[in-house]
Amino acid sequence: MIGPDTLNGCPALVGLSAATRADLAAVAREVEYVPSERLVPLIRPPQQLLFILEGLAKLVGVSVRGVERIVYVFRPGDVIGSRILLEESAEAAYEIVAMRPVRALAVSRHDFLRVVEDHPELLMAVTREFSRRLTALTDRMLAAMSEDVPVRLGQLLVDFAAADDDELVPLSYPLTHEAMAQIIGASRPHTSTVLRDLEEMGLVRRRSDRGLLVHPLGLKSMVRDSGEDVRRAI
Amino acid sequence: MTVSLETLSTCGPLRGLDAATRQAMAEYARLIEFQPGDRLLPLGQPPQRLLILSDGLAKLVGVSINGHERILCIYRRNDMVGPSVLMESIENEHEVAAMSRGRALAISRRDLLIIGRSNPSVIMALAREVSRQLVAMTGRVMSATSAEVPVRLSQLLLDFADGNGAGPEELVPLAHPLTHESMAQIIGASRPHTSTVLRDLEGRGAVQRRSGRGLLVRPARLKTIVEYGDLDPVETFTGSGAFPLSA
Repeated sequence: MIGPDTLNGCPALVGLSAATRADLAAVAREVEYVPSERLVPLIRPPQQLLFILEGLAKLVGVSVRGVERIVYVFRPGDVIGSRILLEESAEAAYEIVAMRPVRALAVSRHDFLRVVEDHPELLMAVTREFSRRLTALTDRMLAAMSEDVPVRLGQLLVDFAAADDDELVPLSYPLTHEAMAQIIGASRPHTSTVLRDLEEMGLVRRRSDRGLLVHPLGLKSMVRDSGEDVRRAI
Repeated sequence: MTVSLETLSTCGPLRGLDAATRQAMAEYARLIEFQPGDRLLPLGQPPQRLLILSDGLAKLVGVSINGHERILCIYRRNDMVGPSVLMESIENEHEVAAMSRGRALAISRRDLLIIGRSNPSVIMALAREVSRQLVAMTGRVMSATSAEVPVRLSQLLLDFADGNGAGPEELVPLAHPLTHESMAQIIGASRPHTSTVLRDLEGRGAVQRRSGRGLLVRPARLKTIVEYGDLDPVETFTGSGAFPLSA
């Protein structure tokens, strides 16, 4: 059991009534994961919902060539475990692994279904959150199918920038070159080469006391102009 | 057009609803008909209605930054279109357009919320559909970021194979015909490349092209390509022996 105030760390739950929050808090517990620990193991369907309060976790799959790909990065505010809603959840060749220390609220499938019986607004709130993720994955699908590596990397860095400024800012969460490569679907050496190219264009600074720095407005402009250049060429 | 209780009882995602909830749905939902090219959900705004297809095909389309149209998802019978209908604000950069004639059950966002408050099982049905589509989209992103074009095309053809009652090595038609252009837009490849890969798949005995009469596919061989990847050079299929890539 947790205090209802702890739920304030989950944007999806902020608008809920006091009664719903109290009943959810009564069945939720706080859990922590260390880097590389599995939040949802391979194959076995999840047995609980996790509301991420702090940290990063990756949804990972391994291709037939043995290459690990990060399909999605869960951040604070995300909800993990959508498959608990399915009556028959097929085995999935994906796992969710902590990239940084993760603190989350865990609610078992049984408890969640019991609470939403009395409070349908909780189900609506969680469904909205899953819909938001479905939209984000759909955007990612479009990027993965259509654009060049510099554009995909540019979009990723804009997505992770700590602020939307006209100056160099750090990432909200540090990403290794390996993680960036796995997210955008490129090799690590190619990703590092593209980062170097972006640095020459003044759009990133690779080494600083705050880690990688990125120029959000410049990167957005590069992403937009790349598309226009290609459209002109077509 | 109003919706009968009988129509609702045959609608896959709503089949598990109790009688009272079905009655409420019948009062609010409408049956709509669409033609190829009709926009079912427009760009730029959150979906204002939820559709459940009862016939026909529809596509979720995005335009890439390079100006290419890409098909991100194909909706078929019993699929819910617009599952983000509960969201109040979202920059929707994709649209859903009909690929064939068809019919759908439509319910507005407002009416869905009214029914959902007193019949939460409707929201549970929607939540399950969102979850199912999340699983499917996860698989597609994984494939788009890691699989080669022959594997992506094989997966698509496998998804569309109409193999009801057929043996694993039999050639079967697609449940819905797809043009080379549509296949290319779905798998994120050029049309000429897609046609070349189809020819290679034919050389491997995984498909059979028939001029003007649609494509036949052999699900067992397509599955092998999907599971083991396109790892080896093309070898011509010579009979019913082991598939060259499965060794």
